[in-house]
Amino acid sequence: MTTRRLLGFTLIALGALTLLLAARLEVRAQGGGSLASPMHPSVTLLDADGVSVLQRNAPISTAKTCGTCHDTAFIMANSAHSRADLGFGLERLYPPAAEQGDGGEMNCFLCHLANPNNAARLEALARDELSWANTATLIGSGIVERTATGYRYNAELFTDGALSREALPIQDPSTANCGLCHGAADHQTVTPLLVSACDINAFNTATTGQIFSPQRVSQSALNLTNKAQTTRSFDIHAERVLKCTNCHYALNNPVYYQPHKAESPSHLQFDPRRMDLGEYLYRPLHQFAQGSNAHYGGLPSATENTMRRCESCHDAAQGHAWLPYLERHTQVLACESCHIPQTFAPALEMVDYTVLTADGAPNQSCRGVTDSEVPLFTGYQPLLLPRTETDGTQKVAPYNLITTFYWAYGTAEKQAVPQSALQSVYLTDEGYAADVLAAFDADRDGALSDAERKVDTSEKAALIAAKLAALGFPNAEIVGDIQPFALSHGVASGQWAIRECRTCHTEDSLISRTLTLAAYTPNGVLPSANGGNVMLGGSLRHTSDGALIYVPPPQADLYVFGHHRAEWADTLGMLAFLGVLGGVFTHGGLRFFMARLRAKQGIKAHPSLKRVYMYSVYERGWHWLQTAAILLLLLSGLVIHRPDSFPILSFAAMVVIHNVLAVILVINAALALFYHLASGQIKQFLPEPKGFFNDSIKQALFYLRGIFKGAPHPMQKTPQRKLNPLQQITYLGLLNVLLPLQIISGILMWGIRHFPELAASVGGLPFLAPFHTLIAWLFAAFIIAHVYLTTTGHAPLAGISAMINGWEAVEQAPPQSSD
Amino acid sequence: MLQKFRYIWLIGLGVTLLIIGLPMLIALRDTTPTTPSPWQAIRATPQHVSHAALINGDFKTGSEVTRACLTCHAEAGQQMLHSVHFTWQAEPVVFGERDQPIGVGKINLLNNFCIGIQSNWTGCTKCHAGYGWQDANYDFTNVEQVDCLVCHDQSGTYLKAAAGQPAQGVDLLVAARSVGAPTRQNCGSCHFNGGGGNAVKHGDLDESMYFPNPTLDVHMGKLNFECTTCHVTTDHIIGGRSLTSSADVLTRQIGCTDCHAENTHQDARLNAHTDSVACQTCHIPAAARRNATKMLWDWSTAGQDLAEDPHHYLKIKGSFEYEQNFVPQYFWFNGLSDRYLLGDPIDPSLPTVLNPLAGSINDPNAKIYPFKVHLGNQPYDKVYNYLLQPNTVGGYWVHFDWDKAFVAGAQATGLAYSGQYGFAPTVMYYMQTHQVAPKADALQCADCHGESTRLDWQALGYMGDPLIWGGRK
Repeated sequence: MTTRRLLGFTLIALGALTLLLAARLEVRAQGGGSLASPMHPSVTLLDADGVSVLQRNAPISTAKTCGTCHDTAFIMANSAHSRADLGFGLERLYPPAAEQGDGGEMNCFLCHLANPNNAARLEALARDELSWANTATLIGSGIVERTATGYRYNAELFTDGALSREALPIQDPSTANCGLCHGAADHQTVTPLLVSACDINAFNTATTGQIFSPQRVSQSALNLTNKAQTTRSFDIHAERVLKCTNCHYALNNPVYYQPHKAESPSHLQFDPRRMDLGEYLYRPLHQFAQGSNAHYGGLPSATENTMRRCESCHDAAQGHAWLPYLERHTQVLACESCHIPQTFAPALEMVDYTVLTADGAPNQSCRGVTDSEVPLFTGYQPLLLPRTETDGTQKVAPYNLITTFYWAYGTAEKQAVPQSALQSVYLTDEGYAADVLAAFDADRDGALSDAERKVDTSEKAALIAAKLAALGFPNAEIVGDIQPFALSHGVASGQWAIRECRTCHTEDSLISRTLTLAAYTPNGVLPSANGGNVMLGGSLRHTSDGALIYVPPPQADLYVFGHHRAEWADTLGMLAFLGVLGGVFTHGGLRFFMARLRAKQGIKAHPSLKRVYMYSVYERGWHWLQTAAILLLLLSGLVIHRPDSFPILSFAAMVVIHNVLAVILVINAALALFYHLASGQIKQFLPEPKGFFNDSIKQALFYLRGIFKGAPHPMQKTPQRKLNPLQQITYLGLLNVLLPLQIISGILMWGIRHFPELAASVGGLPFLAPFHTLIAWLFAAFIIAHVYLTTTGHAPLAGISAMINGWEAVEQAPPQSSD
Repeated sequence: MLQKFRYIWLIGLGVTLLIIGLPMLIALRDTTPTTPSPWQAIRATPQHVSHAALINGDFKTGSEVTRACLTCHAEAGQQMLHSVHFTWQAEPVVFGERDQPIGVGKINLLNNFCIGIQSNWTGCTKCHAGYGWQDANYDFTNVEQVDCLVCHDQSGTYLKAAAGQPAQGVDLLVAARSVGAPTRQNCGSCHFNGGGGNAVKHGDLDESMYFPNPTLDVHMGKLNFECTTCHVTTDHIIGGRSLTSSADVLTRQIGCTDCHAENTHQDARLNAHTDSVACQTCHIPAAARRNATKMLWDWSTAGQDLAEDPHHYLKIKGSFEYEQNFVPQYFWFNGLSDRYLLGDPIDPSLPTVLNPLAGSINDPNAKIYPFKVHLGNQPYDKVYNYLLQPNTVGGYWVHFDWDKAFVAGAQATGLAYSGQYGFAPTVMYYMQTHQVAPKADALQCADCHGESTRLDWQALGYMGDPLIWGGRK
């Protein structure tokens, strides 16, 4: 054994022992890795006067304590998190009240300690101990405890009046810190995740159902449908060890800060003049990068859309090779639309503040959870709504809609009635007020059941309005709001994202889904949309059982193949098609009838026939290739147009096939054009000016009269002159009008991913697609007529046989009619 | 000529179909890369021939059954004589700096469980695939001493007793007539009970694997593998090796990549791990998931009349600690290990590693593997400073006199005993490789990266979490 190897082994052994001993002390303490800053110095807890809290047993002043090193005045002046009474409540779903009073000092501990005691903090706030709320956050750490009489510091933990790094481990905010108020957000995979339905204290989960956790859904503690099969993580970013602050970073954090493009001269790639770390630590901006909020209580617009977007980090072109028309999809869809296909937690659906429970809470309902005794989570599919992005473009993104009903008072500009006023209207110390019970308690049992607890008649509304007026809130009436809450967390990796074309490309497309807004509407009041940058242009409808649903608008600028169809194109096209079909049947029927009649009368035409080599191999070849291409194009186009009628065919494959066929058709047409030009055969298609009208009329008359009598064909078909004047006209139209239009409209649609402006200049997909459909109908009509006319030779199958074999027996012109 | 050729249209039809069909086929071809099916590497199970009607006789001893087997399977006897299941000794190899190759195995090694077989043969050879090994003079060339039944009995009634002889009352005819290819029951009867009882030794081999559910072992529980599905056996030479008792060679090594492609994940991020992280590390998220396994064995407390409990204290063995469903420890490992051999010097003040792992962050062949680390406190000679082989079976376990036990042990090993003994700490590594969980239970990023403490990156040689500090070059 070499010395080095021996040394290695010994080291490994020693390491193993140390580890083992450590593991023994802290058995299976996974996920508890310390984030504590290794550099944060010991902290002297100061009170509002800047002296140690131990001296007078005073509440901690975070502004003074942390202000020893950090510019707390700056931090608190520039933060939406600056109050000690920070938190969420149902009132956040309500138009904000004007005054909010003294909120106390910013609670640094709540976000900068590993295990802040939020429950104790909220209890302190509930006891109106605002000044102690921040101190209460430390209960459980051993630093301070709550006694029967108040709070008491544990002086033994302090060394020279200061708390060591171990006693007060200050850290960067972890995901769990943010999760304390914002919802189910976590970084660990060990303890199974549990979420209660629509708990407003977990605001972002309650309003949207979003969960930010690396844990696999199947390993969580949620009572969830289809759980065992759902082996994805709640959020792929959490799974990949991102934490909240990786995206929602402090805006002046030099690690993440990027100067705005517009601020730098265009030649400059990187500006090395940065804020240094010391300056940042002195004045860390506690405004965090964020997206945009369309609902009440959103953060100041100064920080709106300061966050990096999906595409700032991800290159969609990588990894979407399977997706046809990726560029088109990303033009109209936000990434979240497919990558947040569903939630796992329920979300608020409706909050009705027009009435209160005996506890003083509004009525509320949740979506994504069953009404059973043990609630079973089903999650919900978010509604796809168009929103205006910062660059002005419009994309469809997933949302939850929360409808709120509340009382608003005043004359000109109505204001929301405060909750406290409503509580004095409905409740006394003994429960519901007598007049409220008299009006609402239909079964006279002294309590209000769920069914009774609704303002569902104008009498009840009038009673409450009158009581509000007496309290100084005149002209109160019920108002409703619909607010969109965006889903941007709970992101699924590609494997779990929406991948099935028919989720949208179908009759029952995701983009046209309706959403139940509320099971009832108080006093029939319809809520109004309050969408901000989100288009809530749909209509509201009551179902037969009184529920209110949101029906998305037909979106004028969006055309989803397989879902959208233009009535006019299909109607016109079908009329043309049926017209030709009808005409062919009538004409053919008459011919058949007349021929039988002639046969009965013994009239027999004996035209003298001559076998002619009519069509060259190439002519036949390109003809049949074009036939096959056109037929298959019509079929695949039909599947794309109406995928619901062909459930077994793959939509994506049909799109590919359609495009490949189109290329074949165009090349074939181009080669054929070249052949006809080069060989001079093009003249076959060109009417000769001399005698054209006469000949046309002769030919028309033949089809209208002569053909029924067995008259000879007016034009002699020869290899030099295969087409009669009517055919020439038809083919000119077909080849010079229909075919180019179809090719151009097809190319524009195919190219919409590369040059969308070009398509938009002629009306975009909403015009191009129906137009393409209409021409397809005309092509179909042409095929019917074309095939029928091939039977008008001397024998019904002579024409088709000639196009197969090349040889055709044609009538020889009687000598007298030749010039 | 083309004008006259009647069937030209057939050619035209063919050409048209080609022009349309070929581009479509090209456009629609499946471009997703496919990995070869792992089933390609699985050998077909041979057709079983029922021996019920073939075997007759009044078998008094195991060897008589073996003789009957050999009448048809003549070559099997010689094959077994070369199998480590019979020899308990691997081919000689040179360990580290030693000057000559040494063939090691249970026959001559010490561990930190029951310590060693020398002088304790009758107890230990209960699990020997042979009959009658009770002293140092066992004849390893006698084919009739091979025990066919322990691996091939399918009646479930066969049981071995002292010196590997069939236990009293075993109906050898019933067992012999039942023979078939070895199943989990055959292998498990010894391997699930390593260390003297269910789940004691390995951490990843225990009786929960007789009838595992898919979440415990995806291969056995979901796909119904037998042990031999992976431990491919040719001419009675069974694939695979134990890092605690086999030689320092990789020839019999079996591994996940025998069947699975190394970069089989759909996720490039995961595939980027396979250079440095063994499959087992993520796919065996915890050790001893169903049955607790022994983590510590302290012989120094043996011999006292304390309250007995097989999971905490036995008078004959000392005190133990058991753990279940625990996070393994992770070390660099290149598949090779050194071995403490009888007589090697130790420093009793430091833990002696009996099977030191080879590999480090700088070893391109090494990966991070999961281990159960078993700590021992076992007797050593205070004068000669080496570990001692006690005679326990029929010795210490009867008279509780360590001195007598070491004297008897020394006679068997030929290694001198000074008369002064003490107890020294020892360590053994057990790699976790069985009980592979379904992929839905595999570790996730956050189990090792970020705020987790599962891996101690600096102890492994990284500057810090490679997610932030970068991986090894």
